[in-house]
Amino acid sequence: MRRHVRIGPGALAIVLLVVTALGFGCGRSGEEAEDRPEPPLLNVGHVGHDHHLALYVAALEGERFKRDYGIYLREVKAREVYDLVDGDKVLARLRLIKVGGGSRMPAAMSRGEIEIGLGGVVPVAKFADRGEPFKIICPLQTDGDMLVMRKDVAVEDWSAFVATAKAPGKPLKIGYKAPVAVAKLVFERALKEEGIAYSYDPAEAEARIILVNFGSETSPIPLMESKAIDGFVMNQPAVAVAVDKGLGKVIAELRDLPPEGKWVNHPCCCVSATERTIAAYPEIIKAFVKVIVLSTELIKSDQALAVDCASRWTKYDTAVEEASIPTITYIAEPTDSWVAGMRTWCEMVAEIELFTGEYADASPEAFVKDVCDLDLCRAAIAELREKGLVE
Amino acid sequence: MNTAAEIVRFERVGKRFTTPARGDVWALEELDLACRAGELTCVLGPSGCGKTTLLRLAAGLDTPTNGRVLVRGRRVDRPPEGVGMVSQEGSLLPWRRVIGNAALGLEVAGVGRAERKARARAVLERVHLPREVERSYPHELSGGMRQRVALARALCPNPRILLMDEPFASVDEPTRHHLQKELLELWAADRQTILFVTHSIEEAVYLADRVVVMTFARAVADLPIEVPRPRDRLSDEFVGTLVEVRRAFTKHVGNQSGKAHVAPGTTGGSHP
Amino acid sequence: MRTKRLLIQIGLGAIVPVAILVVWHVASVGSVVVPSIGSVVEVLGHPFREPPNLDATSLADGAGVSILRVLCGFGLAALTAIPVGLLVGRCRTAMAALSPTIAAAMVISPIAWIPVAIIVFGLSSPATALYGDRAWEFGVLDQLRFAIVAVIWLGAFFPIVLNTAAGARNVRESHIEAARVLGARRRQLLTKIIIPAAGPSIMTGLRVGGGIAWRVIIAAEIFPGTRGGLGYMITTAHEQASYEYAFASIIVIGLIGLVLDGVLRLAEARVARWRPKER
Repeated sequence: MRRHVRIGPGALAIVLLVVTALGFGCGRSGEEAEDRPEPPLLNVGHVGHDHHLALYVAALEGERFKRDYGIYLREVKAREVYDLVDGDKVLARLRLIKVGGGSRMPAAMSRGEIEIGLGGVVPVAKFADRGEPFKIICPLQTDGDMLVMRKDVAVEDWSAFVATAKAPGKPLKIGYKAPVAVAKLVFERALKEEGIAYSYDPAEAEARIILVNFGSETSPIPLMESKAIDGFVMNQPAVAVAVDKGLGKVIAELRDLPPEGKWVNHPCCCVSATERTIAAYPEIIKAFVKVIVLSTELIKSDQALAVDCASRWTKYDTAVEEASIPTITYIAEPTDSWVAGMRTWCEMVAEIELFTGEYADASPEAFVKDVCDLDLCRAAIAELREKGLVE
Repeated sequence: MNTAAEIVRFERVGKRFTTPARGDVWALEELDLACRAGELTCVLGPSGCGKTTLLRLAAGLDTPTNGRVLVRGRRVDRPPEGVGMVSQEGSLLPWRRVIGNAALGLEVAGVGRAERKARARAVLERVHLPREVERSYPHELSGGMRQRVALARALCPNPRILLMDEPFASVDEPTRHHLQKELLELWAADRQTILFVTHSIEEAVYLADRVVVMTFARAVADLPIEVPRPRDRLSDEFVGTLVEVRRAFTKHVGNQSGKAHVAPGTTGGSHP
Repeated sequence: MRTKRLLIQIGLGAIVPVAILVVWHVASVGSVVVPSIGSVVEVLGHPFREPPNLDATSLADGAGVSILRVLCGFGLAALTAIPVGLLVGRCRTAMAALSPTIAAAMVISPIAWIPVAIIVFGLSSPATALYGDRAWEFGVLDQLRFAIVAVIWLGAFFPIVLNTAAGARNVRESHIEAARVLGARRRQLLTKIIIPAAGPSIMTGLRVGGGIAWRVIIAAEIFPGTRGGLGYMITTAHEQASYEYAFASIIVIGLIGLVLDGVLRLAEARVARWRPKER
C-alpha cells in the first residue's frame, strides 16, 4: 500500500524559503536603467523623525501637491510605496524604507538596499571618504539639535553649564546617540572651545564631562529617569519628547554654542544618492528634489500643517511636534550659508581626524565640491522658480 | 563433507579480536560444527568460551578471521535470510509496543499493515501472551513476558533457522521451565533448525538433540542426547544422561572459567 | 479538604505574580519609563488596534510576524540540523570533520552574527527573490527577511545538532543488530531504529533550539529596514517613549514563549512516552 506523504504549510514555507534563498540576490533594484521595467522602483531610506519632515509632508499631502504643483507623490501603499508623478506621467515608484539614523543610512546605500537616502551629512561624508560613490544632492534642514539637562540639575543655560562643568565635583554625564551624530560633533567641539576636559571613559579622573553613547536605536529617556545621565545632546523630536515627559529642560540650542556663530544653520540632514542612480535617473532625481523643495516651502509657510503632518507620520503627540518643528530650520536650497556650513563641517571633522581616506587632506572647498552634486538641485529650483512655484 | 541436510556449517572457523589493552584475542579457533535441518543443537560452555561469537557469526553480525560459515550452503558475510535470533536481554525496541516489536521483521520485509498485525497477533498467541499486552511497552512487562515477545519477534517472519543466545538466563527458574517447554512445543510444530547457546547443563540436556561442549574457543565434545521426548526432568533416563553430560563437561572443561585463547606473543586476557 | 488544598496551592502560586504587580505599581508611580499597569492592560486588551502613538502595526500583527519568522528559521534549523546531527552521531569521519567547527560556532551568540547577516542578505526576502520590485505587494513574504531567518536558524541549529548527535550516538548496538538480523537495510535502520531511538534527544534539542529561536527574534528584529514584529515594536516603543507598548510586547513575548515551550514539551513527552518513568 502506498504511503502518502503530506506536506503541511510549514514544510511548504520552508521549501519556498530554501528555493528562494538561492535567488536572494534577484530583484535588487540597483540594475541598469535599460534592464528595468518602466517606471523604475527606487528605494528611499529615511529615519522617521522630524528632520525628514519634507518627505513625510509630500507623502501625506499628495492630493494638495497634485492640485497646487502638478508634481507629487501618489500613495500606493501608505507609508511605504509612492509613485512620483509629474503631470500625468509616473516617473518612478518610490519605496520608503526606515533604515535608521547615523551610519545606518549610508551603510544601507553601500549594500545596495537604497538608492536615495535621507540622513546626516557627516555619516554620508564619512562613507564617501572611504570611497563609496555617494553624493549629497540636496539639503533637508539645519539646526534642530539641542542640549537637554535633567530638570533637577541646577543648570539653566550654557554659561551655567560651563560653570558647573568646570567647578570641582562629580563630572557631568552627557549622552549622545552615535559617534558621528551631528549633535555630538557640535557639542564636542564646543567643549573644546570652552576648554572643558571631556572623555568617553568614565574612569578618566581629569574629565569634567563624560560622554555616554546610548545608541541610535534607543532613547535617552530611561537613562534620564534613572539619572544614569545628567543630560543629552540630540536632534528633535527626542528633545521635545524629553521635555514633554517632564524629564528634561532645553539648556541650549546647539546652533548657539561656541565658537560663536560657527554652528548657526549648521547642516544636519540632507538627501544623498549614489552616483550610479544620479547618472541613470537624472530626471527622476530632479523631480524628487522638486518635491522636497516644494514640501520644504510648504512647511515654512504653513507650520500648523507641518505639525499635523509630523504628528501623523511620527505618531508623536501634536504637543511634542509643536515644540519640535519651530526649532528646526527646513531648507532645500544650497544657499551660500549652507555651503559655508558644509565647509565648516569639513574643518571640524578634519580636526578630529574623522576623515582618513579621500578627504583626509582635502581643503574644505574641495571637500564640498566632491561630496556634493548640487546641479540637479539647482536646476530643479530654477525650474520651479520659472513656474512661479517657489520664490 | 557438505550434506544437503547440514543447514548451518562452521568450517575451521577462527575469530580473532584485537583490543588495545589485551592485544590479539582468539574467541574461536579451528571450530568445525554442522547442524542438520530440524535439529535442536545446544552449545554448552562456560563464560568466555566463544559461544556468543559463534552465534554472531552464524547471524552474519560478524565475519570469521579464518575459515567460513555457511548457511544453506552459502557463505555468510551479512545477515542471511530466514534466520531469526533471540538474545539474552531480548533487545526489544523500547519505543515500540509489543505488537510493533513482534511485527518488526514483517515490517522490514514490506508486509502490509493489516497482514503483519494479524500475523504478529497469531505468533504472540502461540507464545502464550494475552491479547491485552499487545499495546504495552517493553518496560511494562515482566522478564519472562519480554523474552516471549523477543521469541515472537524472531518467529514472526517464519525463519527456518533460529539462533538463541542464552535467552532464558535472566528469568527465574519456574518461568525458565515454562519457556523451555513452550519453545519445545513451537519447535515440534515448525521443526526449525535451532542453535541454542547455554551455560546450563540441565537446560542443554532438556532441550537438545545434541550438545556441543565448548571451551577455550574450541568445540571439545559432541554428545547426542537420546532421551525420548517429552523429557521428564525427574525420570531416571534424564537424570542419567544429565550425569553423563556433566561428567563429560567436567572432563573437558573442569573447573576453569572460559578464557579465550590468547595468540602467542601477546598479553593474556579474557573474552572481549 | 481538597478545596482547601487547592486554594492553598493557588494562593502559593499567586504570591510571586502578585508581588511583581505590587512592585510594578510602586515603580510606575511618577515614572515615565515604567508605565502603569492599567495602560499596559489597555494595550493588551486591544491587540488588533493600530497604536495611535506608535509607528507600528497592531500587537497581534506584530506577534504574527514574529511567530512566522521564528517558525521559518526554526523549521529550517530542524530540517538541516537533524540530518547533520544524525550524520555526526553515526559517522566517525563526519564527527571528526564537523565537530570542531560546530563546537567553535555554537559558543558564538547568534546575535553577534546580525551584522554579518545584514551584509550577506541585506533586505532580501522570498518576496524580493520571487517578485523583485513588486516585493512590497507581498507583505507576509516580504516580512520573512532572509537575514532575520538566518540569525534565528543559527540560534536554533546548534542545540538541535548536538542533541541529535548525542541521541544517535547512544543508540544501543543490540537494537541495531536485532533489526539487521531481521533483514533491515541501511535506510530502514535509520528510520526504524536510529531515529526513533534518538527521538527523545532530538525533541530535547528542538525544545532548547525553539527557546533560543524565540529569544533571538527580538534582537534580530531591530535590523534596519525591518518593519513589523514584536522586537520592532519594542524598539520603536522605546524610541518613541511609548513604554506601555514595550511592556505589553514583552508580556506577549513571554506568553508566546510559554505556549511554544509548552507545545514542544508536549511533543517531547509524546515522543518519549515509551520511556519508563523514574521512581
